[in-house]
Amino acid sequence: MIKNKIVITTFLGVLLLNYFSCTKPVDFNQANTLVLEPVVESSLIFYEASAKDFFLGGSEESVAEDFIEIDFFNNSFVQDNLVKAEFVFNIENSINRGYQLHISFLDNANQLLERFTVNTSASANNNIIKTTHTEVFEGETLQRIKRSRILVFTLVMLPGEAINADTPGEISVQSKGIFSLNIN
Amino acid sequence: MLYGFSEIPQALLLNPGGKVENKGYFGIPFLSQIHLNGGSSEISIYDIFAEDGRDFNVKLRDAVQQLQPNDFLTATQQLELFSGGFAFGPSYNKNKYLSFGLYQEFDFVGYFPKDYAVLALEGNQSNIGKPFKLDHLNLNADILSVLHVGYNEKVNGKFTYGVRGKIYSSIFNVNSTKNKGTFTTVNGDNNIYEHIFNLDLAVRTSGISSLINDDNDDFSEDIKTLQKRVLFGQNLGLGFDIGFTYQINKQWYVDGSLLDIGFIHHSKDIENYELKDDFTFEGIDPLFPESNEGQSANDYWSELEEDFEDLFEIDTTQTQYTVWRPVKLNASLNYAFGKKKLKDCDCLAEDGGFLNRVGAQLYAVKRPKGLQAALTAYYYRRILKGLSAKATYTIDPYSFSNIGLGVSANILGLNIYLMADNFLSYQNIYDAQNVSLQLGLNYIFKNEN
Repeated sequence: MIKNKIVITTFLGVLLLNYFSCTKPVDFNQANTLVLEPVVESSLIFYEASAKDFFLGGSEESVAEDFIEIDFFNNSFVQDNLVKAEFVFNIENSINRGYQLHISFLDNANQLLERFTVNTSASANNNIIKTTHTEVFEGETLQRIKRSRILVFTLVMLPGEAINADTPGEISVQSKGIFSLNIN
Repeated sequence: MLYGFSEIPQALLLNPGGKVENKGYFGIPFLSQIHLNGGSSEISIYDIFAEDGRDFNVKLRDAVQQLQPNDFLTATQQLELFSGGFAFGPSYNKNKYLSFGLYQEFDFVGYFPKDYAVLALEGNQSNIGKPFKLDHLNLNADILSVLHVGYNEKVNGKFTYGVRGKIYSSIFNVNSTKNKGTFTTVNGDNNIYEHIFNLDLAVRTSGISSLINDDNDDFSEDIKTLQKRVLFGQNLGLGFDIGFTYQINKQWYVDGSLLDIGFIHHSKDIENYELKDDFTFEGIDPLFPESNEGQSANDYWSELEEDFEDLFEIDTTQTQYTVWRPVKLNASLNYAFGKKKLKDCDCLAEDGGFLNRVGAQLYAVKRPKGLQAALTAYYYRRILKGLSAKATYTIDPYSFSNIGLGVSANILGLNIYLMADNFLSYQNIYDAQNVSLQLGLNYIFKNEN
């Protein structure tokens, strides 16, 4: 009887040892293949004006330009991990004039790297005309805009019916960037 | 597992008011109690790292989806440096017992930072309107030593109580349990989106900056620094344990204990990192046609850039802080049965002579996001004189199929014990969500009567 008990105890001991020796194959090196692919969306520029805002000092102001210096691309995280950049512009226009919005990417030396244009047509009856424009940068074009340090926005009011302080209508621009990252 | 295993002197660490079965003992230094425990709720290492041909990234994404912010990872380790105990009182009734010791403990709890993981994996694109909750980052890590003295008194045949006073010496602490705030992207009014940053994050550390910022790169120097902190180190705390045992009748008894009611005050060698700001961003407004407000888009943007820098600026402070120890509750109801047949019995009639015991044990520990509890049913058997074993079945946040085994043997005054749980997953330890191992070696002075 005592023998039996010793056998049982030994068996339990062996079971304990097994407990720490039996594993199925695992491969912790898999962690090296980790890829994060977040897609970040961010608001960019926005702008709203009425027709009379383009009538300054008694005459039409048909070209307006502004710029920002950007550091966004000037860091290794974005340089290494950004694989795609999309820019989405939503324009609503109820002014009876067409518009072009040019977005220009300039490098340190003010050299033009890339440029795209968002068009919206004139609204003859002052109803809101909605335009959506998506500009995609991948591969070579993306590599070019990664060098940009200055963004220039140029709004051009296209020729048409003259405006004055009483011309009805509004134009609004909303925009976002969609940045796809691949981090590994 | 160890709880209620009264042949093992260290059971008194889990219930200072437990039954005492020896008149004295001392622990073999550094070997008297080694305890390792680790666990993760919901998923196991095997779920993610199995060599099963599935894409690691798919497995990881599945895991992130499956895990909830209340899922956690815990690890504890205890190593007794020395311990001892002795009975005292009138020679006809030595009903009082004093025990003491010093042990080192590592304790980690971290909750799954789900929203941080989702943000890193998906970005905000697929989560417009959903707040990313920053309180999902919640963790505490401690290495400390505990110097303790316990008093146990058997008041009468039915009632035993005990208390244990503790002095904690923190070796280091990292604590980030009070984070608040959100990051949300919502559809905006002026622009397509409005990005709302509401940040209130803090990580508090003690005992670490002196190691990182010291001049030497010598790891062994750092170890020496750490060793100095083991006894009455720089950041101290106080705490106590209480417990009781009540014998209802010959066969039934209940007991219970509360452990680590105490705190550590961190006042030296502190480095805290805080990030606290509110900010809403909806884009850049280029002010053409040339307005009279005199601010160009670039001025506007420069201001924004500064705002962003401020937003993510981390303040470093040396503010003192106090961390409460994780309070633990143990309670059990026990029933002993099966007297040894007289013809076999050349042994002493310990425990009323019963050979078997069954019972239910409740364990709960207070963690930053609430209680973690486990319920155990056990069967205990005195196999031979000086050899006893305990089998347990435990339900806890890790699993519903946790079988454990423990053995205690007394050979020539030496008490050796070994216990482990989660036997059902012994074929593949990586698939166990929780593993626990406890072993130790003591020299025991037996009761003569």
